[in-house]
Amino acid sequence: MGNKLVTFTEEQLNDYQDCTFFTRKEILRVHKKFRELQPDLVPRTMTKDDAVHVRVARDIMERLPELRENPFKSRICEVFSSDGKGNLSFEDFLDMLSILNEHAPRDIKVYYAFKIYDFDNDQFLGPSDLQQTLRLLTQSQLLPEEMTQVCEKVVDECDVDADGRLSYMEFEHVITRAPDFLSTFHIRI
Amino acid sequence: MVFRRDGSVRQRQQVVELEVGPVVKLDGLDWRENLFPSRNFNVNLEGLKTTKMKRGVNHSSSVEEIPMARLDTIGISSDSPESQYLCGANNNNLSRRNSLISQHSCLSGIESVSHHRVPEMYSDFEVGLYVPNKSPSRSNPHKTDNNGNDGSLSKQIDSARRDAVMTLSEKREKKAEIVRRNSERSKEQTIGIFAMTKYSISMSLQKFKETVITVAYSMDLWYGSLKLIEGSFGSGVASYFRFLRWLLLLNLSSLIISVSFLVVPQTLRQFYYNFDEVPDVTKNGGTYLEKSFFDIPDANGTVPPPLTAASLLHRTNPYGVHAEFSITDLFTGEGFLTATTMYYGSYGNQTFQLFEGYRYDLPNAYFFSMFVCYVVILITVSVSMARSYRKTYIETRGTHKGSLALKVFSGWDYSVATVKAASLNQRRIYNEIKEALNEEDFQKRDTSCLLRFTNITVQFTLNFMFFFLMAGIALSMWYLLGRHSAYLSDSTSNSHTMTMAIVTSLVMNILPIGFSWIVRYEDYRNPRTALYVTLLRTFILNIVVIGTTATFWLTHSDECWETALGQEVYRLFITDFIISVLLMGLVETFWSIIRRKFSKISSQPEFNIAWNTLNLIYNQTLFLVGFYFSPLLSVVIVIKLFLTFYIKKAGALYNCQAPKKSWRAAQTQTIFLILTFIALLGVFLVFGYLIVYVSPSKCGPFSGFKYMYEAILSGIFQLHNDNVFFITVLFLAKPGVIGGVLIAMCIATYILRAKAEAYTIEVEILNNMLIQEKKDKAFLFKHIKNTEKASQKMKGSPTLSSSSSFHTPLSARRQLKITTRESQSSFLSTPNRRTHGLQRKFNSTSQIASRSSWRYGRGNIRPDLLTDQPSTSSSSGTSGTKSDTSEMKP
Repeated sequence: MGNKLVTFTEEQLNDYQDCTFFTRKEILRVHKKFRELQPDLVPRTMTKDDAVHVRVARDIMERLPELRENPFKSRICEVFSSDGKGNLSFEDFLDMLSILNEHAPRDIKVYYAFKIYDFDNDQFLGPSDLQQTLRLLTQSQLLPEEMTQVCEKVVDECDVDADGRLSYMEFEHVITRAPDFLSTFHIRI
Repeated sequence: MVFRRDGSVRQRQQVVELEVGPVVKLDGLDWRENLFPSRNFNVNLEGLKTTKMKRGVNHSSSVEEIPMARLDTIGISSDSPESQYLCGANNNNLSRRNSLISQHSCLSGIESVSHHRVPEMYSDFEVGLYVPNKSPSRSNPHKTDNNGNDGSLSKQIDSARRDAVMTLSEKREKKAEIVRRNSERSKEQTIGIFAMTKYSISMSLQKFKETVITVAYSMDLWYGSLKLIEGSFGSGVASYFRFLRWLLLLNLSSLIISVSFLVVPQTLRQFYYNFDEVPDVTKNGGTYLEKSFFDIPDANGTVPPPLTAASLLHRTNPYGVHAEFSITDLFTGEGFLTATTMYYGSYGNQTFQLFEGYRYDLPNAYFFSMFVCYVVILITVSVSMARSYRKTYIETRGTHKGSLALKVFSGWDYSVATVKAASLNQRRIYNEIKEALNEEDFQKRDTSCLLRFTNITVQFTLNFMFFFLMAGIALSMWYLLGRHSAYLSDSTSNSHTMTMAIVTSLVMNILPIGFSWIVRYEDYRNPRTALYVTLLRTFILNIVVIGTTATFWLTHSDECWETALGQEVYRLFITDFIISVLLMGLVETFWSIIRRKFSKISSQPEFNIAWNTLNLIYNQTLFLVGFYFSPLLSVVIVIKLFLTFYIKKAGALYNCQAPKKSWRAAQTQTIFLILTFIALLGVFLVFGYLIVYVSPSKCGPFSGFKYMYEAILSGIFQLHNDNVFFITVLFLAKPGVIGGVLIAMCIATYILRAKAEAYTIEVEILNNMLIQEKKDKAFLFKHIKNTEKASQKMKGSPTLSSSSSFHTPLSARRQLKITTRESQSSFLSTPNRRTHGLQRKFNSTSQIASRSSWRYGRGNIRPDLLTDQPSTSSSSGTSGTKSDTSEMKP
């Protein structure tokens, strides 16, 4: 391995391997992907600071082939970015793909799914969050009254404490039992 | 496990003791008794496993960290009294706490019950869970206070909660800290030698696992192709290709075993030893001929010359026919191929020496290699089946399948990456939501008696016709096989060899289309049922075809029927490849070209996942039947699957479009695995019969024995009739003993089943409780609002707007509650509202009252406090409350 250009230090790689659901090879693959987005900004060798401080802007991030067609792409970027604006550093990026990896356990995926659908960050999926989700899912094809109807039904199905919105527990209760959640909430890198 | 069980039982008693106050009776039972017996240890362990971060955040501190992580995902708040006493009681026993808590979470409804039981507790819980996150944990990572075990547990739990959802950078910091702390601690205290070895063993195991995983990932076959398929068709179509890959890898293991232990030794033997010399069967009577290549000279005192390639091509096959290689042999599997290591018949029954001093017993090798191959396949299939079943059916039990929420939240396929697939995905979700909206009217459609009667009649007739058809197919196959067998014994013409295989393969390809066509007329209400019926019919067709072939050759003890069966399977294999992969691919391509040219609407066909996967299962079953009689069939199937992958991929990418309806990949995949497993079990039954009741022919490794099991027993275990072990085995094989074992198993199954049913009922009861509580809560909120209004009227100066109670932030809601309580106390005509002691007393009593009423859950709602209160004080809410109370009472 000595003849190769070193992208990460051994310690970094170990850390990443321990803290994500990736293997070494996959981490390097992720780095390659990250670099391809903005080759002039992202250095080939990532010292410790670069992995945290070099950020790729959100609009560039959304051009990632795996995200490009995803209606929630900007929201995903926001959720995983450490500055909260959707600009991702390498570690954020690695984190995101690790959560969306097929080896990540259900619980963590559910947690992040909740965050993604919670557009207004109020820790509840209220009617506005649901409407926003529906809008993105169907490209605003649904009529407004249909939209409210769907929202009402969804809330009615999941809402245990009758407060008109879904808390994390309620969301988890429903989504952990969705048979296809794991297979659809998954991006192959 | 036993330890845990004991520990947890003890814990349970403690819990009951601790929670002296409101112990709720549910249908005459302590509800805790209802909750805890339903623990399922497997589920618990599973849960623990999944929560544990893969390649754990910390090997070193795994003892401590994992339970915390577990706590986190269960979502027990440190503020909830639940976890307070749970943790408080077991301060020093982490593993026990862990087991208790995971029990606590094991039932789906239970978590929610425990958290939603009491409104106060509920809101506390929310505060506990979300306040740390509200101040975004990302921007100011909490410095954890790791005081060790003796520190306040709630803090630990808090930090653990953050663990699971920390960002990568935070995780790295935490890891560094844990490592540092542990090194400090290890300086202070020494670990016992037992613990030391335990840790080192578990660590090295973990490392080994990592290496294996890394290697496995690095050899990820068809990574790019799968990604491409997933991107353009979604995960449904990709599941077919993943299944194909899985089968390929599975068969690769058989290939490696069979080639290295059977084909290579046999080929070596053929090269070094004169093949034409057929061993004298009469002489050998139960023992093996000792022959070797190197050291045993023949009668003339010379070592026999090795065979040349030319002499190999001109040798005699078991039928005594000199065969030269021709291309048609590749399709018929006969002629030249008959005498090669391809088939059972060409393997000898000798023990020989491959290397100086090492004997190689070919019959034993044959049996054991095959045995290992089949067992590997059995274990792999059953493990993946069980895992898949648990994931899709057990863990997700209790959902209403047509739920709109699922369509919204797990509708989008994140793997989709092309514009076309994305727009199709969007349209699919739109359609599904629309359908679900309209479904309510649809479900209530009038099903008149006559309509139902005709429906049932149609279904019955069609099913009857189906079984008739199956019988017809079996009979005609039998006839064709008989004709072929007659030709074979004449050994004059081979022109009819392929007839059976071609006819069968055509039937196999055409009939399923018919099945999916007739199922429309049966009018199954649920499209899933229709799909499953079609799947089942096609599967039965497969079984009939394969079963007939196998039965025919098992009952026709030909000269070398094992080889003949192997050849038959080989032919079916090849024709299936030609017809269902090549021909169908060509037809599809042709069709899509025509469509593109002549029709303006570019509607391409969808990839038929069900049919294609069933074809794979058919292949696999065929392989399982044929493999025992033809070790090199493993090579054929691997090549076939390999080619199939590329052909299907090209066909799909060129001809097909993403499916318009969602394919429940997880569930259907489980069904496919179950079907594979059933086929496998059938094959095992057939082989059991074969080994015990069917006498082997005069060729192959078991020639000279009456039954195969004799060869296995005497040759492999070196046992004879007087051996104790042999007698024991014979005793165990007696019908009485087997019957006893079967009965015991039946009883065990019955008990387990009854238990499972009881749990289901329990879950249902708990679910009902939840729903009841939901109603109760809504009801209570209404009252609180009313009281609030009334108090405002009383005071004359509004402090809080009553309409905001539902959507106000939590703190405001809590404020509201407190105010409400105050106002309630004012109604109870407490003389001095500002007297804090009294106030607190009142609050606590009302809390207890409310808690107990919640737990009863069946309408006994604080009649003293709430039902009557507003009716006397507020005029606006009276009518509503009356009607509500009457609703609540059962």
